[in-house]
Amino acid sequence: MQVWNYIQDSKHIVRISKEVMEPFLSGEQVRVIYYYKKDIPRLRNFVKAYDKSGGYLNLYGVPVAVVNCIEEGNKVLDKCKAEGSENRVYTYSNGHELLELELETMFDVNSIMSNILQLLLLREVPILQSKTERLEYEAKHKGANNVFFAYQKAIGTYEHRVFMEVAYAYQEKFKFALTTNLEAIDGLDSNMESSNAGIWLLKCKASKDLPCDNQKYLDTIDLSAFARHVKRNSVPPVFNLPKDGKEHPYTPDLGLSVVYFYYRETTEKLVRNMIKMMTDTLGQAAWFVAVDIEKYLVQHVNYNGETPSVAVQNTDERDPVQMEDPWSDDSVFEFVLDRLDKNPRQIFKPDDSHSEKTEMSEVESSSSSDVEENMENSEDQSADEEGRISEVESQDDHVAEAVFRARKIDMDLELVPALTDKTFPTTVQDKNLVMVLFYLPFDHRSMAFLRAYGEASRKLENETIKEPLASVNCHDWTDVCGKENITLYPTIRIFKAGSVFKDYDGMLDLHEVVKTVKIMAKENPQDLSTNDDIGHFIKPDTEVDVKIIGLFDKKHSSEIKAFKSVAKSLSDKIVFGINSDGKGKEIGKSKFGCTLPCMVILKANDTIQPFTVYPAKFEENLMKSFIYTAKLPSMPELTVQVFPTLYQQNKPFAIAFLNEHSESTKLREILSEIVKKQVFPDIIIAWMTCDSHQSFGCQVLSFYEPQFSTPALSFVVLHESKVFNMKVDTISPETVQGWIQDVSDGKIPVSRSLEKKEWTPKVEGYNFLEFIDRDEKRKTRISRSKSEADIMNREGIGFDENGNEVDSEYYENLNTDSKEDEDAKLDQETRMELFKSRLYHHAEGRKHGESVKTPKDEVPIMPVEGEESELDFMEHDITGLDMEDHKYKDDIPYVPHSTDKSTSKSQKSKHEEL
Amino acid sequence: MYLYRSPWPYLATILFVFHFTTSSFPHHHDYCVIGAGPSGLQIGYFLHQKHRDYVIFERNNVSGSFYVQYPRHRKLISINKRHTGKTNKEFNLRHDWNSLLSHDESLLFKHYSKEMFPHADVLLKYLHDYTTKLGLNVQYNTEVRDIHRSPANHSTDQNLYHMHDVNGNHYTCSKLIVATGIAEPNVPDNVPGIDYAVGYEDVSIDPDDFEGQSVLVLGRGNAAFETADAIYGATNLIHMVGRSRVRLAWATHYVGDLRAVNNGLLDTYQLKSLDGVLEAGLEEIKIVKKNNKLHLLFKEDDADPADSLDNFALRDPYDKIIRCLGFKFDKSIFKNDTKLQMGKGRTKKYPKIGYNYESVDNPDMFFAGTNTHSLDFRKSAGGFIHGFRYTARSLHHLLEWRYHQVPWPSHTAPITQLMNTIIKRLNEASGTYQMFGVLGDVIILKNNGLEFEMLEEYPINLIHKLYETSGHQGNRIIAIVMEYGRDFSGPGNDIFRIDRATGEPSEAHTSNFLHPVLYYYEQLPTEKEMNTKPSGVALPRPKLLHHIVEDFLTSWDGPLSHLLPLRRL
Repeated sequence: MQVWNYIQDSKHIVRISKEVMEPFLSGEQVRVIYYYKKDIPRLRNFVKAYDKSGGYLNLYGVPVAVVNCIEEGNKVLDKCKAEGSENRVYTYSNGHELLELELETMFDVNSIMSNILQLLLLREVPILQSKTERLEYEAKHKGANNVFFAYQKAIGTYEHRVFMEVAYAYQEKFKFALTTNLEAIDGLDSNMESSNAGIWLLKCKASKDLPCDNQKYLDTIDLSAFARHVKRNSVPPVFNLPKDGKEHPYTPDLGLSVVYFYYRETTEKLVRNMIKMMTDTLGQAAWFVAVDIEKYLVQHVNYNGETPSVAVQNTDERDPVQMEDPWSDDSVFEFVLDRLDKNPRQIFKPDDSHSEKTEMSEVESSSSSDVEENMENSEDQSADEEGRISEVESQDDHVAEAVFRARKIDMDLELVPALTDKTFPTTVQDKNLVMVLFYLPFDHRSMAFLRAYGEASRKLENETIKEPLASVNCHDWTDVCGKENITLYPTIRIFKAGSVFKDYDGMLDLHEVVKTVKIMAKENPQDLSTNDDIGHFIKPDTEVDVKIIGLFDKKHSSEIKAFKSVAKSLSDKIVFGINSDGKGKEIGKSKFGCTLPCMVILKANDTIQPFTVYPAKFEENLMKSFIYTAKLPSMPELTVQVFPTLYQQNKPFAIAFLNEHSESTKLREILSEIVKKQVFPDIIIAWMTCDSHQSFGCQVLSFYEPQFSTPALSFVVLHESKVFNMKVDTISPETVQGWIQDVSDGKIPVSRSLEKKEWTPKVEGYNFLEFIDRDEKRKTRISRSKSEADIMNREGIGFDENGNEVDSEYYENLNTDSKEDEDAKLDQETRMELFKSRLYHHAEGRKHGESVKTPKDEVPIMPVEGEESELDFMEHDITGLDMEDHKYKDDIPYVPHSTDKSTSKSQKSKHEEL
Repeated sequence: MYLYRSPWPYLATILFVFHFTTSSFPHHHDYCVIGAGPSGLQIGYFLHQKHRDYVIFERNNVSGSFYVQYPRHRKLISINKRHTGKTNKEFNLRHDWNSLLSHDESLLFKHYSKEMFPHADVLLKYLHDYTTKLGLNVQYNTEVRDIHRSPANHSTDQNLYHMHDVNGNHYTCSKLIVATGIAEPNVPDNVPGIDYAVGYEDVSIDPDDFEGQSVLVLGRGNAAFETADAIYGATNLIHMVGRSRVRLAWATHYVGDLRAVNNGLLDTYQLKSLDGVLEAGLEEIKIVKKNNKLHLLFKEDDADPADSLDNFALRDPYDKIIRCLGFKFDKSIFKNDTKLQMGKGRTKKYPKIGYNYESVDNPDMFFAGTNTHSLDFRKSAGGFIHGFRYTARSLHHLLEWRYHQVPWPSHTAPITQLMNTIIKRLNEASGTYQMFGVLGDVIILKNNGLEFEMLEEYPINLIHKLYETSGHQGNRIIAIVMEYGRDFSGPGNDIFRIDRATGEPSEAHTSNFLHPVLYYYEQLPTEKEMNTKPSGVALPRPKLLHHIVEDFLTSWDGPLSHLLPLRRL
């Protein structure tokens, strides 16, 4: 088919002849004309893009036209006669020729649009060449305007086009400028080497100094996202009703929730302060509207007329939802944040919902039988499903999340040999002491701990014992772990002199492991043969907090035996010392008040009870269970580390919640006394810090007593889910001790019962039975039609159903049709909106072309369906356009730019092939 | 030389003694295994490990004597993948199709050959080493005959199997394990003139014997293609005829179907190089010899080949016809009156057995190895070394509980380790991977769900009789079975179709490649449910079902795609 026929069939190209030439060119607006002389390569492609661009450019009042030079009457036109004019596109304004553009640089919609728009807005969107020029520009607008400043790798790209289209619409509200020179963005964000474009908002309006504050635009550069961004910046963050107007400008399409604050004269200050706090902390997470209810009639359905009060309206809601709780800083924040979380289009979250959605829709449409089904189902359902998928497939295990995040940071495992089937037996055999971590690489706890394990090995680097830590990956060496009967991951097995000593049962914690190795490396029990040894042993030691000394006479052979055996079995946790020839008699008496045989548990860091003398018979089991409790600090701070051991004792807790004030200190001292006197041996008296709302202690306390004040004392029987709270207005030794006594005697009523909860999955998984049932139903209802996948199966990718090869353009369309359509529609909507805003703030002196009547009529039907969709849009996002090839006319200051020639060349050649 | 002596007087004595006590037989064993092929040796190994009283009878003087003769062209088609890039020994067995299971790492086939498809002699050497290194009790040159059962009666509470060898020695045993394979050539008795055809068992392996000849091959299996492959360079043409369309293993996922190593002939057929492949039922044809040429005719045709249909594809005469119609189970070792049903339909070459590998006719008689393939025929690998090494182990576990009160091996762990245990098995287990749909891991939830007990490679078709077969009580169970997608396999389906794989965890139930499926029951399925489940479904409808999306690398360890949806369960 002749290219001319294409032109005749085009939707937006105006065909003009010599007769109408003059009126056509007389308008002030830019006009574009191509002079058709003959078929030349790439013309077909150009016409397609030219037509489509024409559709868009009409919106901007720029008609595109073709003159048929073959027609007799037109042959006399200068351009028809001019040599080489078939390779150019000509632009005009006010009857004058502006600039001619090489055809080869006009190969797609983006390049045509961006070039023409740039021409159109040459004065409004200047091209700045250096940092100096940029700073001059900033200086010009300081205190007056905010500037959107773009770096474009080349003129004629998609990003350039987007910037120009938005600039056209918002030129009254903001100033726009761009550069193609990396030097000019110096000081903004120089990491542009690999990007095609970057955009900054230079906040010159409020700037007093230069350069203006800048904020980088982080979202993807496409028409709808960038337009939304600019629009969002064009409205103030806070709007006062009715002072600023009768209606606030925060339409739902801006994607943010609106937070309403209601006030009257008496409460205005509270509200203003709150708004200030909110904008300071939340920034652009929402819009804020301050409503003076004395001057403005609030029509919100749910508003109850109170002030100060707050309500939030999410983008999908018709009316704002008002907070019910009484006004306080905390309650307002909590309410607002909670509501904002529920906004479907919250922008300050990473905006990947869009890409996810399109992926999903591709999946949906890829199976042909789904299409009809989808039409039957309401859209709600697929939205539900989508939500469900992201719910099920979002990680909510904190350990797993942390491990995943840390995966790129290498673990330091240099000192932790990874054992194999060969080296495991030899290592265990050869080493006097070695701890082997058996782990699974896909177990998050294992991997979280492995890192700490590596750090522990580093800490032990300079100890006398060499490489005491090793590991076995049970996925690589399933046989090794199988032989060792490992069923728990991670397991740390301690081997001493070739055989298993025991499995480590301490915390999976760096310091605990280091401590264990250090203790195990020591001789245990240590033989304290002289008084000096004994004296040295009982001195407080910074490294170990619990030590046990046994003092015996020679005749205590059975006691010595029991002590040694206990020492051996606990040698991974506690350092033991022994004197067995009676030398410790004096020290025992003077220091601990005990007679031989004597065992003393020493707790260097325990100020209340630095030592405990073992009171019972020297039998192994009795000794062990005594040590088990006696080694605990007598009045511990409740932490994650100590809680499990305490909990296991199955005793009630008396927990004091303390801060740094004197009342707290007093309570603490009273409790210390009670502990020291051992009044309540069957109650664990402990404390937690509660000095701010965020502190863990306060969080626990607020659970026991919502209206708390510090200090507080709670008596908690966890196994019975009972909580008793003491009224702390009168603290004295008598009241505290008496209260604890009364609680244990059952004289005090329960303040609060803890809720019993099942340990169930947080989120339910997929119900595949349901899925299968649904699929079965679907199968019986819909017979399989010829789907694209079927065709592709039969004919191969890139072939149509008759087995003919289709060009890649067609194929890409086929494959991404739905997405393309969607994008195109979205862009179209955005454009219409942009256009309306442009009309509303119409620049002086600019008029639309004659064909234009009303804004609505102007919007042409875009070719969004079929193979003509927005493909070129996507295809040429990295395109250079060699501006040096342009011819410059008149005195229009158009500046040549450095561009990446190689890119543009390769693009060109690609196009010639097509 | 030995002096022949009639066994009968001797036998009579033995039968007489029998009525008093079984142990008084001189040649009594608790277990008799018949056949020292791969499966006999494999079950022998497990019996040996548990110090059971067993003997393996082998009629020839080597282990695995089938492989002395077969495959005729000496190239094994089971893969010997020596490297997988992993050190996990269990995982590596997924790709080692020749090794038997043992604790001795030197007995891995990768140490025996570097060939991807090794020579059959290497397997003989391997089986010899397996026998000797592990000290298995194999009695060679003992061809047992006349196997029959004397049923339990009031004086003996157990069945007793009797047999004797050609030397007249009489053997008895309480349990019989038949591991004879299927080694008897299948010669159809309804094809007149079949005798003109030369069998695969005797066919010359020298291509020169076929120089310039036209050859017809009956059969469609690997043996047929192996034979054709070996000679097609020498022949005028080769035609192949078989009942079913060619099933390519890479299309059906069934290793017994035509393997790519043997399919050279398909190329020349499809490229019209005279060779051809046709579908036809053998029961309709006859073979007629005329002028020293062999003709293939329909039965109703006259004897004269000239009158046959003029466009019958096989109308031209052949110089040779080769019969490659597979093998069948050899019943001749049993006494004539020993009842032994054979399977129906496509499994008619296999003896009929239950899911516990026991003969349906003879209690205490079990089958091991390729003759148990009726249970998973044309599905998983139960007919091949890399499959039946696991079913032999399962059989042994069943026997241990049934006869020796040793429950199925298991380990118990707190429920917090459930995920790890499952994921670990998914990513390494070879038995459930090779015997997909047949063997599965069973997890019993105990102690109010706080603990679980793991039984590996359990025959999932016995799950309704969990306690009777394994010795473990439990109702709340999770069975983990590897499955292919239901729409996937099949000779007609295009396995390279564009939408062949899914990557969406929420679409996991449409996964086509092998992927794990978890069945959760709060009550064990009933026998009725087991018997009435639709075909192609591994287990009856559970309380909850979970599919884990297929993975190209068969490693199910993606934190989001694989692990997380599982944790949600």
